Amino acid sequence: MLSKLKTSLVLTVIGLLSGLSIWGINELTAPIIAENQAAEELGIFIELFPEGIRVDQEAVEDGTINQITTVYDGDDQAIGTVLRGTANGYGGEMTVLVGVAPNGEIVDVIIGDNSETANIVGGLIEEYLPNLNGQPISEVSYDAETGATLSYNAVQTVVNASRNLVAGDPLIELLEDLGLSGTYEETTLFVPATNAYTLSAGGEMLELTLDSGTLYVLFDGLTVYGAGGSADPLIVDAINAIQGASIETLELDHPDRTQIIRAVADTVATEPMEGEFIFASRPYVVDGETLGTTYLGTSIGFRDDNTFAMSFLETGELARIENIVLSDTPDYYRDNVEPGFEGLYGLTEFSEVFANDVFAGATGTGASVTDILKEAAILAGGDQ
Amino acid sequence: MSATVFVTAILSSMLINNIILTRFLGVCPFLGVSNRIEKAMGMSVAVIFVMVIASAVTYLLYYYVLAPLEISYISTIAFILIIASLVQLVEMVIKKVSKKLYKGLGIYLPLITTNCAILGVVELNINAGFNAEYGMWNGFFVAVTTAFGAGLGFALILFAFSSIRERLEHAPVPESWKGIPVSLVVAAIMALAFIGLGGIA
Amino acid sequence: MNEKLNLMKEFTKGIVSENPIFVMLLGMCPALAVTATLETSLGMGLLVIFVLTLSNVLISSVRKFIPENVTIPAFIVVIATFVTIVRMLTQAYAPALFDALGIYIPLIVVNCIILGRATAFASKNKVLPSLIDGLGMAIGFTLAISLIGILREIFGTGAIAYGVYLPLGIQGSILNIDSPLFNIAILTGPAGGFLILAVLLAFFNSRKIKKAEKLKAERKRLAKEKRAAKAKEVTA
Repeated sequence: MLSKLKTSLVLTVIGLLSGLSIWGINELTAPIIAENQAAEELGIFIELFPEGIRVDQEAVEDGTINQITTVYDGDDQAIGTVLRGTANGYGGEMTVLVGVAPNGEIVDVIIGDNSETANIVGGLIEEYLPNLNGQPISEVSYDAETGATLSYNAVQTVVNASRNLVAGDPLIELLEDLGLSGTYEETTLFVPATNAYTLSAGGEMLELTLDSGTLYVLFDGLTVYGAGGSADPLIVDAINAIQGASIETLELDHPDRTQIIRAVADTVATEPMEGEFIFASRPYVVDGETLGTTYLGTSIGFRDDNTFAMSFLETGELARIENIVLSDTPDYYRDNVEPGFEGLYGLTEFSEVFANDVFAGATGTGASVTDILKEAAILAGGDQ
Repeated sequence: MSATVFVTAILSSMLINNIILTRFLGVCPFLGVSNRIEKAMGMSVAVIFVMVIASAVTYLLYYYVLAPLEISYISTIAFILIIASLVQLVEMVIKKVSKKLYKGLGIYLPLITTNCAILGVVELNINAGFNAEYGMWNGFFVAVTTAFGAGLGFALILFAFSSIRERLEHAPVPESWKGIPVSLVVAAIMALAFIGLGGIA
Repeated sequence: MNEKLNLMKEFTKGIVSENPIFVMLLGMCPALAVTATLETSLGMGLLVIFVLTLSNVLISSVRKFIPENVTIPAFIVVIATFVTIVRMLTQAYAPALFDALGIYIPLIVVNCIILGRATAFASKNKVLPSLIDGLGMAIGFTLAISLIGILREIFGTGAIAYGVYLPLGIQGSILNIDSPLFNIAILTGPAGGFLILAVLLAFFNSRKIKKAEKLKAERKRLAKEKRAAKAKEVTA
């Protein structure tokens, strides 16, 4: 009994002494540690704005941007804003910091925590991110070539979200310019273009990537309400000139005319469907003549969902495969998957092709094409 | 919460961030015990067992007791005491439940308290901040899964290594390289091979 | 005089004849994990010197009060307390070192050398010898991992940097050899830790073997001479 008492007494004393000394040291070091951490936090912002001595941080919930930091100099003047956001790259979430000067110029774009391929990130940092520096954030434009990496796409997502917060959303401004109020929502149903939006004021808006820039077309049915964007002013003006009329009346001697009319007509004619992969269909029209049916389908590829349009002639022959949304590596798709499509055109039976898996190899991207094509072929009355 | 999170957690803690080859946790048992497959497996089972339980208990302790009371600075003491008592507890339970199991695992259990793999994995789990990434309870399951994966990684390396070592004993190794030095060279080659797995991530 | 000699012996045994890394093979985790550069090795060494010396002194001074059945838990609490203290001090005064060593600071708690010295020496000896023993062992550990650190850093990067992790006030690097032989990147990675430790252990082993062979030859020679002398005596 006595020995047990002694044991517990000794243990208590040891515990007390240990607790006391740790508490004491913690009281001593805690303020220094907090100061260190604050200095470390300041570190990255000082890199962007070397004159800064104080930062003011604000958490935001924007879906992409999660923190806005304002940097102040010695005179307590705001000398810049740093927006921190995350977006999905190739290897997962990627943190990007965008420094913006008070005049709206991008000071620097920094890649933070990421799991991307080191070479790709290195290339981005060396070659492409410097091109963003000095650009006004409200009209930021990207190098089209580097759009081919998912890491660069993630950077663009964060920079665009920063632009929307700092300079206002250009799409909302476009809507206001055209006299429409309200918001927009991205829609996946009609996706014949880069992006499609449903407007709260009614109608749809398409974002088309043309050689001369980005074109936004607003329409309801075939009736156009207006256009905007960085595309050739000739096109924008021509569309705005026919406001209230059918897009088919667009008279314009321009190589992009066909693409614009086709995109709008495709969107309007698209009907929802409920298949395993196929979610919509529309007439397959070439030069104003309906040749068959186009099936739109989505299936999971290597990374995420890929959407393809499979056009079949009335006779059941495959006429065209078109990619609409690609979540997998674009370079890989262009070099290894797309070239294989040529050999499939004109076929009605695909079982043999799928058995050999010619264009798909063993990859997820190819497999997503196979999924959609299989179902579309059955709907077109060919392959069983 | 999809199953891929758990699969990723297991694969990454087992192979990509293997505790022995990339973090050097549990090197002592790796060099000491692993000259017989049977021994290596006994040790591994004991380690996996304690590692998973210790991760679960310390996760709850940290986020429900230490962090709310703002005394997370005593975490190291708390964790090592938890591990030490857990080992005692597990030893007693095994002794009561199965004499056979006790015979097999019993001798390894006391060694585990000072096996840095356990405390290391526990600390890594807390540092990883799973609760912030996945939420409190999902984070708990990710932490436990990660610990299980780390234990499997430990077992995998111990197993592979003991198999190699049985052959090494009959290999003509220079006198001064016999024993630990040549084992370390094998470990270095294995670590090089595991760098390749980093590419999967 | 004799006592002084003994203390000297207690001190040097940790550095040479009972070196924890190269002879006893204890504390291998930190010897591999934090030795990518000289500075991190030295930093870890300093922390271990602090913890091991103080825990040895404290344990030795209270050794008579600790009941036998709870010695190990009591030792662990003492060691963990010192580790926690050293961890907070590092975080406050050497944040770069704190980040570089990461989880290996709390892992000093389970470093076999420290608990090993507590049970094998401090709990059985007076305060002064325990202090000397702890200091010697910790310095032996520090020298050993610093040697590993130097080799890994020189052959891995071709230079020895200073002021990066330790708060020295100045930063820079010495040597700066520009040669592919001194740019073996894998040496700074995990595999390099295993490899360099293996080479060093083999080197010390070979010296031990040579020494033993010499000793054996010497003994043989002496025995032979003795026999010859005896034979001479007999014939005489």
